[in-house]
Amino acid sequence: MALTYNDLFILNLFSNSQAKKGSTVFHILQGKRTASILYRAVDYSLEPFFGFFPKLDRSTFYNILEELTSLGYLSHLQENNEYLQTRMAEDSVQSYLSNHYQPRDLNWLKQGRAVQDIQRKIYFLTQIFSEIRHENKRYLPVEKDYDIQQWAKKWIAKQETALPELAVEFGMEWKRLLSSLETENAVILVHLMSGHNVVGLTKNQLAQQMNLPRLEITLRQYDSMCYLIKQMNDVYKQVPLFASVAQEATILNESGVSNSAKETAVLLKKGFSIEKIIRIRQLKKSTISEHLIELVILFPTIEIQQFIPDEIYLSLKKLLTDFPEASFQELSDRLPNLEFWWYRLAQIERRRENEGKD
Amino acid sequence: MKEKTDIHQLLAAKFGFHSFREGQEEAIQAALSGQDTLVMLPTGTGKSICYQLTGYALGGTTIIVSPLISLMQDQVEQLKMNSEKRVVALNSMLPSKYKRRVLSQLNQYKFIYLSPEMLHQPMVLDALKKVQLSLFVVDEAHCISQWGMDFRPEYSTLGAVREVLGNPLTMALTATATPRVREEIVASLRLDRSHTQQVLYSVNRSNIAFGTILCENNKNELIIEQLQKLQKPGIIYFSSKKMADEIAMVIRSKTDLTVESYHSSLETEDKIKIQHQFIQGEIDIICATSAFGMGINKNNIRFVFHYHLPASPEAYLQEVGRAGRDGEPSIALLFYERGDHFIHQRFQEEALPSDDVIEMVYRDPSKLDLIHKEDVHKQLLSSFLETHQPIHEVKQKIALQRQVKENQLYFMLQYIQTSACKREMLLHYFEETVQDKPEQCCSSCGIDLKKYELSYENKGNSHKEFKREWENRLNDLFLLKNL
Repeated sequence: MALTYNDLFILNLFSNSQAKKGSTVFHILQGKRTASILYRAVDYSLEPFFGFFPKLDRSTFYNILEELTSLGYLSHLQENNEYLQTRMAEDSVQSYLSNHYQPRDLNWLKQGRAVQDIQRKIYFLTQIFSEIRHENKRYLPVEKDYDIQQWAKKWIAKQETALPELAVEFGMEWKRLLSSLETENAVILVHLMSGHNVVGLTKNQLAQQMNLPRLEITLRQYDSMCYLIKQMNDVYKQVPLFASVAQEATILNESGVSNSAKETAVLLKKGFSIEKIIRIRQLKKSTISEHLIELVILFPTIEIQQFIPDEIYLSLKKLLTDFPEASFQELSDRLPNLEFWWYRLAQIERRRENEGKD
Repeated sequence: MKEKTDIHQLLAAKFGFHSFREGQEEAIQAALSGQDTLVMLPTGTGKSICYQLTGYALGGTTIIVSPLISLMQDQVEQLKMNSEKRVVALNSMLPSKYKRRVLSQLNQYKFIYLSPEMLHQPMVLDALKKVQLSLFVVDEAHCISQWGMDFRPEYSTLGAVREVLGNPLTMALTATATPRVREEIVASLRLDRSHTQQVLYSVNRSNIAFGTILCENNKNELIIEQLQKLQKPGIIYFSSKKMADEIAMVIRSKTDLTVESYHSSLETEDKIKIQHQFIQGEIDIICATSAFGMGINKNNIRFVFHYHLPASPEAYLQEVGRAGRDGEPSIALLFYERGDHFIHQRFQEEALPSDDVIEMVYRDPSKLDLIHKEDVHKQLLSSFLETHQPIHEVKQKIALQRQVKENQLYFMLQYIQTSACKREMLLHYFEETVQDKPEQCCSSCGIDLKKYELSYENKGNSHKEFKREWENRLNDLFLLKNL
């Protein structure tokens, strides 16, 4: 039985060397923002897809895993409910990787929220400026969200250039950006646009017209948006209008941090101790420690040592150097005061150091 | 005479029309003469203009209570498209930071759309009290009535709200209400009967022919056969999202028509695109649930099919009424397969909370949190609790609702089976009679389907050629070609 594109996409999320828990992969794809899932997203190298499928249905996902297992592409390690790619999967995965588009810039863990925000704003501005170019004031907006409608009003009012020229400049900036993409991806981004007398296509319609799986259209779309946002920052002088939208939205959606973790970060920056933050925020210690893990995962420059008592930090570091695979249980036998979140932080630090060496 | 000229001028200036449709002028004149009004105009004949134009003529602010967020959004956008910027929708979709600002500047708005829940919030009521309120509008007023199709408990407090707001001039509008429902609307809004003018027009739409087609395991084939022959565009209504998707796919595979499905599970972006494509004439057929249609301003829909049995004659007329708003001949076909009604029986069993659930929630309102937030039971029970209705009354109301729904479904089954005039039967439900039987009346009286078929020269469909390129499309959007 031939595997579908979606089957192959799921199969490729697993590895032939690192066993991965099905439930953890499911939560990563759905974007469950707990410290342990965030950590596993990094550990499993699945940050690009963290929260990429917020409406993923549990039974759909498990049916695919079951099918891949029964066809011999995945082996199911019952004891820990983990999955490994089999040898048989190798050819299929190779052909999938070489015959289909692979995202290069997508990082939904860090950028997901910002990308969606930027895209909605830019596509709404596209419609507004297209109608301005055609001198039409009577049209139905593609954006019904009051927040974004108000944002667009303010953003336009802030610009110093007259509207007709601004509309031309906006179109020219699109052209500069799209020219940097491979044609197929530029075609997708342009056909999603609505403007004067033109209604953009839905992703399903694009998939039919381009004879590509819907998921591939989505991956190409968002990967291209991630790439373009990078471009907006790198060559901002060539695309100042787009760059201003992107910068503002990126700050607003700072590295995808949850709002609650953001509040903890603000207090941390002010120099408050963890105990003080717990008191101020009236939250449990476990919640604050989850925030700290989220923050150190999303901001690799945050020093980890500051959160762990010195003597524990040094012993833990040494133990993890000697026994890199040691479990929390094994380590806490030797360090009776060890807290789980310190262990997790130390693992993240080790990972950072190893990545640095690579 | 001067007043008459003024409203005609306003109609042209604000809406670009040069004449009123039946009933509009009468409703507006009644309101302008200071009378409260209950306006019943058939679906698709321009009820919004009645209160919007009255609002312009009166000055001050008009507030419109509307039951559906999507409907409010569509009407706000329509007004904005007509260059009216002083319009806002106050509902749960409005972020709280904007809500505070809107409330502090309410006087600046000409039209304020509100969900009924908003009127339970003291800060909203306080803000409204400070506004120079010229007209209080209750849209889809049949929601007030337990005998109607969409009973909403929050609507039952609108009479008290009117009083708090100083009994402003009121206009209640509906498309489908039996005399009993109309009676309940007037009573519930606490309108003075001697001072209330009822502007009533028949629910009948004589340019729409009504047909039922009995199927025997061949529904899809019969539908596709009709689709290929009839003039388009059209809508096919379903009671299930899954079926809407599936049949859209079947039609796509068996014809070269442009077909899309539409229901609540689509991403918002896709819903908006499909609506706009349909309005622009780029889609031949929409396979939809009842989520599609309200607020869609498209005049030339030529047919409405029902794949599943509609739940009530009110719902049926609402959905069918989306056809032929341009007054041209249009057709409504209901396809029925034995056993189709079971889907509604199941929906009905699930739609209303049982006595056990009512008792549980009344004993401990925190139990409401156990119910999923989008569950209709939760919304219904929350409104009963918020409006402090005693448990025995709630139980009675739910039992009555159950009975009403059963009767409505039973009526629809009879409608399908009757060999008598279907139009007469539908009108009879609303206690009306057919005044002027159209030539193309119904499948019992005989319909000449050929009259609704495509002419040979008009056989094309709405397919647009897809070009795998981006630069020309971008150039066209922004007129960049020669720059």
